[in-house]
Amino acid sequence: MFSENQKISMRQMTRLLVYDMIGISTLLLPRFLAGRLGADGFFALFLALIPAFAVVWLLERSVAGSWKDFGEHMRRIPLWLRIPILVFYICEGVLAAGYGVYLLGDLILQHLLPNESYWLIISILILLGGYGIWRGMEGRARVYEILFWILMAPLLLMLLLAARDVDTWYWTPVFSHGLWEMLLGTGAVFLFYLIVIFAFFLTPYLQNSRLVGYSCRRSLLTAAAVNGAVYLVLLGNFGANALSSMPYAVIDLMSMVKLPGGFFERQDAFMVAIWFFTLYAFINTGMFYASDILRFLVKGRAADTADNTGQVQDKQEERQRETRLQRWSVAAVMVLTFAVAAVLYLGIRWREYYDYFQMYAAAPLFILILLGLQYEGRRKGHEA
Amino acid sequence: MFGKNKGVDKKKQEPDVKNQPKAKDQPKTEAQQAQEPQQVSCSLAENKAAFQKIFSDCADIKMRDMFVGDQQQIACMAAYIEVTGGGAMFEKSLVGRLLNDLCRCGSQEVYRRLEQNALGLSDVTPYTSIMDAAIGMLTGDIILFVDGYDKALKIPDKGYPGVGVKDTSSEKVIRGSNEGFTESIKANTALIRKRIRSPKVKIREKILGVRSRTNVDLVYMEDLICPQVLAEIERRLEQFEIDGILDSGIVEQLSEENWYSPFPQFQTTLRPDRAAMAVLEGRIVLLSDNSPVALILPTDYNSFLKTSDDYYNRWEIASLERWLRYIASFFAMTLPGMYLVVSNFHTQILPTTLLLSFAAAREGVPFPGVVEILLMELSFELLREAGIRMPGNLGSTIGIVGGLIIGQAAVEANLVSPIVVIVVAFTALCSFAIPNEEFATAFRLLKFFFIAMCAWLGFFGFLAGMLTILIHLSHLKSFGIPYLMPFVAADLHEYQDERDSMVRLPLFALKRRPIYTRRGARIRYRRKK
Repeated sequence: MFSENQKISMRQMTRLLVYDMIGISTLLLPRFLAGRLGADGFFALFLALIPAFAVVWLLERSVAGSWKDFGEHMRRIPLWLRIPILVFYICEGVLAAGYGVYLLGDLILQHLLPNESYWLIISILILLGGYGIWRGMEGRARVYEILFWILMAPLLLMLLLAARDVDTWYWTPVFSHGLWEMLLGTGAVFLFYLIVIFAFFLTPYLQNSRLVGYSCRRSLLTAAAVNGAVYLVLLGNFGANALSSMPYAVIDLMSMVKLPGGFFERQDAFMVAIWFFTLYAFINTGMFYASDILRFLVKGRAADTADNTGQVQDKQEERQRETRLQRWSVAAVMVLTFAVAAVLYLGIRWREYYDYFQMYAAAPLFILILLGLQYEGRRKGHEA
Repeated sequence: MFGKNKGVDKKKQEPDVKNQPKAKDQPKTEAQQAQEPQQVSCSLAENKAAFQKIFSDCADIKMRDMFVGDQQQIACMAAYIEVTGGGAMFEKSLVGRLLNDLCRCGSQEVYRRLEQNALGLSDVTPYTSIMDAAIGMLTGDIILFVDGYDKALKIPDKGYPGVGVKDTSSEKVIRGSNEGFTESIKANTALIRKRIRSPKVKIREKILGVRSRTNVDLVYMEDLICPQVLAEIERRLEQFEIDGILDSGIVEQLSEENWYSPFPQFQTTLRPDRAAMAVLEGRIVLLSDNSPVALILPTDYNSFLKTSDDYYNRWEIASLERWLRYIASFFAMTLPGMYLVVSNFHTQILPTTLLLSFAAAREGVPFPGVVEILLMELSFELLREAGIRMPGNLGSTIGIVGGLIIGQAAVEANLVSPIVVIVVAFTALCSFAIPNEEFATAFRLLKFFFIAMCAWLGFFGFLAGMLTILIHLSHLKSFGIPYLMPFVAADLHEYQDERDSMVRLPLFALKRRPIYTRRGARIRYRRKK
């Protein structure tokens, strides 16, 4: 009646994207940047906004054109090209979700339940992910709309309190790295910001898809600001050398912060909540788009067949079929995510392969596909 | 004193085609007609039609046709709210006396008596406008129309129910009315009408229950309600067939969308002022005969934590109390679980002195923490159940006996630690601070879910539980309204609903009605120029 349309607002989209980005980036980037660039890592965090904004520009142009959303884009691509692209998107969604599950599972093992089984933890995480995607886009967006300030406020407060112990000496030297190193560091940060490309799949769910670029830019700026603040505080507290050897430095920082009044001795366990929810957002995003695109792929094939045979199905049957399809797609994605998280846990080499794949294959492919779609759109526009 | 008799001439009442006004005088738009108050006509049929139009869909408004005059030659009509007039008292009332007297008069004498108030009735008010008469009737009096007489007479009668209406047993307030709904549906609708004397309040009557034939009324404001919501509740009420409806709880359960959710999707109230406020917000109040519990729909999380006196008190204190209730609702669900988290899994959080006192308090207790908590929680639930079922004053005695004596004895016998008693007592206090009993029950149930999750997986279990509840709530809707409004999807109503959520802004800042109201009718307050 009022809001049964599975549509989300710009505010919801921005918050969703911010959480997709900051969970994984605040956890992994400080270590990487401190090792590679030291204090210059701070600049890389903002330099990476340039290519990220370029991607958003591309995305905006695709969406602002005559093709309103992702589904419409895909339906206009010839089948021989559409299927590999969709399969790539599904793989990317599952890989991202699997990596998120592995990371969160590892975090929980290290900071909350050292004696618990990894398999139990990731099973619960995947079940939660499945439950989340089963509830649809509106539910997903609402969870993060409500959690935004509940999580952001304590994070900012803790950073503010930790800033008291910052030694600004650690923020030097600056501009001490070469162009190539800066480019590499910026490229790595860009990979994390590239999560914004998920907005492409969000377009069918938006109340107003024309504001997608504005929302993406806002979330990128927020993510960069949060990452910048976290990096400066971490660097100022630990120094580049120590920081580059700490796997989850931001959580360790939380254990050092003393709250005024001194009632709580350590709050790192409680602060894990922030990364639990932000990483869950990332997992959920990967799983959601993977299952959504899987359904689109299967439905597209079925629709093609139905069109050819001229079958007409009544609404009730169609709804039942849709529910069945959703159930199967969610189950399939859950199994695949579990498999990815298991592989990443069992072999350290696979984690390296994952990084290489993201850097040298997935990111360029994402951009290439966007460029291709842009070109195709313009060509069809000219023909029309 | 009264209006002039213009006589009854049937011929005159028939439309005179030849003498109809010219086209330029004749057409009046509906808006113009609506703006001009319709005058009471000499024709009873016209007056009746006008009244019926105003009170269409008002099951509680009765219009009784009668005849007066020595030969029963003059038709008249008494209009009244069912519980305020008529019934067994009709003959003995003031209007009854008047009618009896008029029955002994000839035609001309009837009009003379009405005009001169020959019976000497005090407090009789003549109205020349139909709308004035309608509003006059809503004050709880009887309106009498007499054929051939161009005024409506308001004659005092029983008025709204007062005697027999009891104080509410729950939802107590410090400031504001203490009236509660009764078990009679007619009295309950009148209690709402008493608060909103507008002909736009409609009461749509349904009969549910194949054998019980229970009256169920839908009370709403005609120009504020979203028609889709009304259509939806009517559709849901027509979707089932059952032997008997003995309480509104049965209607609630049978017309809920998410039957598996522990959270109620209808708001319940025992207070007429709360129900009236809901009607003014464009919501529907569902009343069931033989039940003092009214259902309000649609609803959301925020509505359950509001009380009537939030609006009667100053905004600062109302906001503070709202905050307290929100915090209470969180702790009512999570506190025992959180105790298990910090005492069993993450002891590093607590200061050493507190940790030592925890350990000292638990010394000698043979059970693990989770068993201790469950034991106390179950004992508390048992006491609560016993307290409710016990007759009268014994209920409170049970509470004192259970809380003080058994609790103290259990601590001294080393069955539970004093900390656990404090945790359980504080949790109970929090659940009692939730103003709505059904809503508080959801938290009481979920408390056990959190105890299990936290005992099993510590803080991870707590987070997983929290996320599950959040996902569930974010998906839950009550008649299309997101349950977490206005914390989510507030943009649907331009963030106006946030003004009356955790903080209740001053009343002049609450210019708009909540999102439940139909578009175009959402302004509820404006300053006069």
